[in-house]
Amino acid sequence: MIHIRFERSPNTLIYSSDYFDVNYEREWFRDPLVQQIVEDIDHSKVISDSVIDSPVLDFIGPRDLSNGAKTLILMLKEPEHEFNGTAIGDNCGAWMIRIGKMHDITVVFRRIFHFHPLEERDVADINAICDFNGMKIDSMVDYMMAYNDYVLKTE
Amino acid sequence: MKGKYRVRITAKKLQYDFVINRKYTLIRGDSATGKTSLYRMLELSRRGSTVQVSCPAECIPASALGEDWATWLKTRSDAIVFFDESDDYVTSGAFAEAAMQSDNYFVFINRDPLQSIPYSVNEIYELKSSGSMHFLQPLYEEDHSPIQPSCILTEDRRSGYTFFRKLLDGKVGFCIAASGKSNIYKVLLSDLVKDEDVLVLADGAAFGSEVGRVLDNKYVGYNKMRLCLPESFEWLLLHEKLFQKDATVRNALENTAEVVDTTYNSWEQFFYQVLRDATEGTPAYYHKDRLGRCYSEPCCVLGSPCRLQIHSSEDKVGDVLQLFDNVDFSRLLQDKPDNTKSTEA
Repeated sequence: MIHIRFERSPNTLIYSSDYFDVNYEREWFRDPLVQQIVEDIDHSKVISDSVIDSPVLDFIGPRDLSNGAKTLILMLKEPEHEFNGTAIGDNCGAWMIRIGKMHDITVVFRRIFHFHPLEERDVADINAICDFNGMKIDSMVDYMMAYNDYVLKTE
Repeated sequence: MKGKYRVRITAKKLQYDFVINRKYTLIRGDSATGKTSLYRMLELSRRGSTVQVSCPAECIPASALGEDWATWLKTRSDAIVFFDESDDYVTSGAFAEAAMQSDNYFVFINRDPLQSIPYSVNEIYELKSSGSMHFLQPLYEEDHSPIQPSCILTEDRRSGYTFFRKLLDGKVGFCIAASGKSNIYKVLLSDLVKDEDVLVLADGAAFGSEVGRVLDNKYVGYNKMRLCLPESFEWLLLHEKLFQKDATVRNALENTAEVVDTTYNSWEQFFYQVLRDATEGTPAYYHKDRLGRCYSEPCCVLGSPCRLQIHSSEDKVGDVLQLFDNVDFSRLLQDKPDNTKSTEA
């Protein structure tokens, strides 16, 4: 399940890219799920533990991955953190949902994160809960209801 | 510092080519579109690498400002400073204060709303690419969808609200003042406008921090809403025929990016000053807190000879309303004997 928060706490991993750069483990890149994240988000192919083939940058290392890919990999490998969801793109939403179905993750959004576009607002696969008010969030409509409740009670 | 700046960043495998139009620019969008690479290339260019940066102004990554960024921003001028998502201090009030006093341009690669920075809805971009070439594309397109509003929601409760309140006096439509841009979202959630067709009128020049969530309100669809974001209410008034012969006003409207300098933190402040200057010494002298009748009623002889005087048959309100593309005001403007629904938030 994804635990959604709208405010940071002292535990929020604000600089997940920097954290990843000094803490990633080579063996993570043997995991087919990590390889799929790299392929889906960065359109790049993992060649070996520390070599990635990027269509734009040629051969790069894990530190050169996008902030979105690094954060998703951390969500997969070190889910105990409270992640900064504001700093990753909406194109990471599908993977976040997938990881949230494997184990609990906590994500802070200081913007409205589009798990789905407007035309898919009723798609109910997010499987999240808002830690502020306990509201269940399955669709983007649920997400907005939880966010609106937060806004009306805090702003 | 003022004007537009074309920025070209070139390396063997990556190129960026875009124009910076105003003091504040935001770059957002999906992950892995080249935002961090843009920032890294600026850093590499300062180490004498093969990255070439071509721009009439110096392009500086925030990492080059050092720890004391506040002093740097205060003492240096005429640079375009780029801030990456990792420069988290840009979300602070202290940073916003320093930026607003700074004679530099700012490019934020950041998805945080940055509520203390008065940035325009027109200067929020995402990076797109064609092969190795990257360019900026506006994130929000202007909304031209037709609407026949049943109420108007204005950002402030001062001149803009007064103008529309007066227009709707005795009519079936009603006008609500949100009393600040950050309140618009909350008013849209309230029973005041539930099931209404709402024309939201806000100053686009400084509405960048709010535009995302206001548009996202469509996910829940409490009401039909059209967001109209002229640069500012003063920008609307400057289009009245009162000012059609004023060359300074025409130039300000037609070449805004070339004439606004960094002492103005948004074009909203600039157009306010243009309107003040254009009306000084006339009965139409502009105050945000009280809007004179010169902007909505036929010209009189009180200020004669008045340099702004136009023929009494000219429709001043019509000049403003025609700037709203595909908005049919007829439903709002129907007469009703008892105007009971005019209200404030």
